Amino acid sequence: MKYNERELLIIWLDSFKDIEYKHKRALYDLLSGKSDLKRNIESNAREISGAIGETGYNALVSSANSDYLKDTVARLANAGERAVTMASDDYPDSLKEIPEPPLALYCRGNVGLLHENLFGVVGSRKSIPLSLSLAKEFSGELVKNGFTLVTGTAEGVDSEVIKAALSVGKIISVAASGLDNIYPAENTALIEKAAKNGLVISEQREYVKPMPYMFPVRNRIIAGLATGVLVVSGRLKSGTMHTAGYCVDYGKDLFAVPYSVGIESGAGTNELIKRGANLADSPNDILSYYGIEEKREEEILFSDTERAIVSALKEDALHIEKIAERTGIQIYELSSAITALEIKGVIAKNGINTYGLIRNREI
Amino acid sequence: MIAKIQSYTLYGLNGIPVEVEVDVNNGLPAFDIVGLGDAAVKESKERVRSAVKNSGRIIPPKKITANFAPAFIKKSGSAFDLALAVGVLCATGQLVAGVGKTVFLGELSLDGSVKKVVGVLPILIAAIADGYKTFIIPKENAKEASFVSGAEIYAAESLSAVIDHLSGLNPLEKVLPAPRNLCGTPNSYDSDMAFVKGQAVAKRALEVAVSGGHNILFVGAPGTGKTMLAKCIPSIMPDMSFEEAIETTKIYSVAGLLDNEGIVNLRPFRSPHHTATSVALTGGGTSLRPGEISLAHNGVLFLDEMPEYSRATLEALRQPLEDGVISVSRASGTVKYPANFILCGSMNPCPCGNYGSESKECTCTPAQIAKYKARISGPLLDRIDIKIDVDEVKYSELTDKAQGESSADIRKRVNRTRKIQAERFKNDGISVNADMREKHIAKYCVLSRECENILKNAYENLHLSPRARSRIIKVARTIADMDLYDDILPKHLLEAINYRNG
Repeated sequence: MKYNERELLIIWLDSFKDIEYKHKRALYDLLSGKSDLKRNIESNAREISGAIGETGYNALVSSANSDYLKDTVARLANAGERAVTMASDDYPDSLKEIPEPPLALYCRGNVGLLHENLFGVVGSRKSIPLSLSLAKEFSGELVKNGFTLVTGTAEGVDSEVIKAALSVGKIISVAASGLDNIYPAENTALIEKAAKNGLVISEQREYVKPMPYMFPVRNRIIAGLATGVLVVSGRLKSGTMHTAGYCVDYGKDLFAVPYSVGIESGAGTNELIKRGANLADSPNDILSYYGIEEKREEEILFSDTERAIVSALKEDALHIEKIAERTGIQIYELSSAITALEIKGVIAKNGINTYGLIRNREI
Repeated sequence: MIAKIQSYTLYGLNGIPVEVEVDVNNGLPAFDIVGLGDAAVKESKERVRSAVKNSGRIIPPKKITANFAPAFIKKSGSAFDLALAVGVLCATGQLVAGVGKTVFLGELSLDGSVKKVVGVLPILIAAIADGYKTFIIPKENAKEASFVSGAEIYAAESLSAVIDHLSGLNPLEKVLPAPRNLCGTPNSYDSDMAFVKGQAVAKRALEVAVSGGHNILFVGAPGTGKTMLAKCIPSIMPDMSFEEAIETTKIYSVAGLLDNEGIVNLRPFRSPHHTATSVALTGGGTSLRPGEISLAHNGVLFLDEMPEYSRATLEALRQPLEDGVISVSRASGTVKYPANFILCGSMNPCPCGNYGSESKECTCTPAQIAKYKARISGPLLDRIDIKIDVDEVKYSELTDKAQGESSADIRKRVNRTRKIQAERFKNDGISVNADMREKHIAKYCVLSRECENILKNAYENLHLSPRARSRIIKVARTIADMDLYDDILPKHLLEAINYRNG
């Protein structure tokens, strides 16, 4: 990979762990466009050490040579990563518009995806099975209609989104930490697949370990990249709500899935709707917002038993024994009909032995 | 003069004949025992000395030597006391009787009374097979001895009664054979399905599990009734046949756990604590005792909070789950104990117990949950066909007056389903659906195209693991059998998918 002068300057600056983001930005503005790096630093000695201290200044001076730079770039290449910097041609325009754009995105996979029609799908790590089914359904439909999905790396909704978009490769997974240290580690294999078929990016160099502060900072990238964001689930205080907050700040479209009262992982999305987010209980709500023609729901054939269950669940999710009571169907028949409905994607587990409709439908 | 008395010792579940030879010589007074006896055997001379004295006979001041033949087999326990005492009396000429074909078993107390010993039932069965017809055993063991037939068994309370019997003065009481239909008495289990409120799914799943001999795993928060459900399993298992009862009784007899009934005629329910070692579970120790899995033979082994057991303990279950027997090998030898049981495990969905709950928040990290689940290895999970989520019973269900089906009614259906399977597998060397291997599945579980489609869709939509496939098919086979269908219909398969594990 060939980088131009300005790109190299950013890669070089970004290799200093202890320099804050705002100082890196200032240094970039100060040092870019001039040829001799070392002399440049030295001529601005007072200003630089005033900002980042004597040790910081000394580190910069001692590293301002081509060997150090070569080494940094080589390590990047060894990690299988490509840096897309603010100075790169393929740096996404959407990110340039946010107040604190990442200096560089370290990418594994298909960098071209950054310029696709991006849509964010996020949700909490601990979601009820219903949310996971929804995440899968929304993601599938959005991908089918030309969107490339942006999400995180966590388990729960994020993983569901990645899995749904993986086969067509339309997925950008944004990691908070360096790409060699995916959090949670259980998802490493999945994220590797995402890098192979799609794209995985991070603002951090590959070796950086995950720290709590990195997650909210990462969320601004998701919100910044996407045209709109769907919040599938989220508690009142959660990272998902951060992402939604960034969406509002950046003027992106925000969609949220509604939940019934009392479901903790749905309280956050309900709050978003209360404050004006678009309510989305089916992929069509998003598609029609963007003027994509509504597709008719596939006709699903129901048996009598299945129909009885669906109508029993119209009002609310029910415990299986309550379903038995309402419909008068024997438990063993109920078990097989419920599995059939689960397979058809009509209902989902809503808790232990409790099932709910994924959405109300005419039967 | 030399006397030879027949006795038996235990080796696993088998009895091995031991001849007690007693010789009396002139010389310095001594009482020596040779023939690889353990401490209890060596000490028997002191018990015999006192018992003989307190029964009105004497040990003359001569050189007495007792040999336990065959001399190369290690012998343990106190069951030779009676044989040794009779041998001493014969050798010293204080008792003149033909004792050649009589087998003596019993421990002596210092006052001359005969006390109970372990393993009488398996020894009797082995000795009768060896051709012995007459036995003298402790009275306390009479109950269990009454379940063997084809022998003359006398129950003795004291050494003097034995002497009187042998010298023809006062014959001992004969042990009368017990009726052979004592087993499987319905409703004698403590737990009954009728008393389990709600939990309809779990109850149905239990019936499926027992019908097909499937191992089962309950997942649910503490206090949701997992243990209560598990305790009901023996009550809906098929009636215990006399042969099964004898098999299980043999194990309990060897372990010294027989109660006054003298027979285990209810299917055992064993729930070892999770601190149990693998030896406690599989058997072993210097005396090669049977472990919990053998004590659960023909019944249920319940492992509460399964992930809390040590990994080694759980892994030790794999081979017996496969074979139905456990080989215990130690320095003192190798024995085989039967261990054919339904494994019933329970676990929380996560360390805090709230994962997947609608209302309560789970506080565990994904790493914690993964670690918790990983404590049960894949190969072991492969042996568990059915997984059931158990949730809290609502108060309204608890006070519900309507009673569920009783265990007796369910058992009737289970008996019928088991019969169908026995008929099907009569040439295959297995008896229940859960034991089917791939070749049996290919032979007996042909899926229609519609069923194949369901499986394919389920695999994609419900994230089934590839391993789950044969487990689902086996369970579907059982459900079809319960429904009296030769073919697996889509509804059977769908229900089986609902009970999937993984």
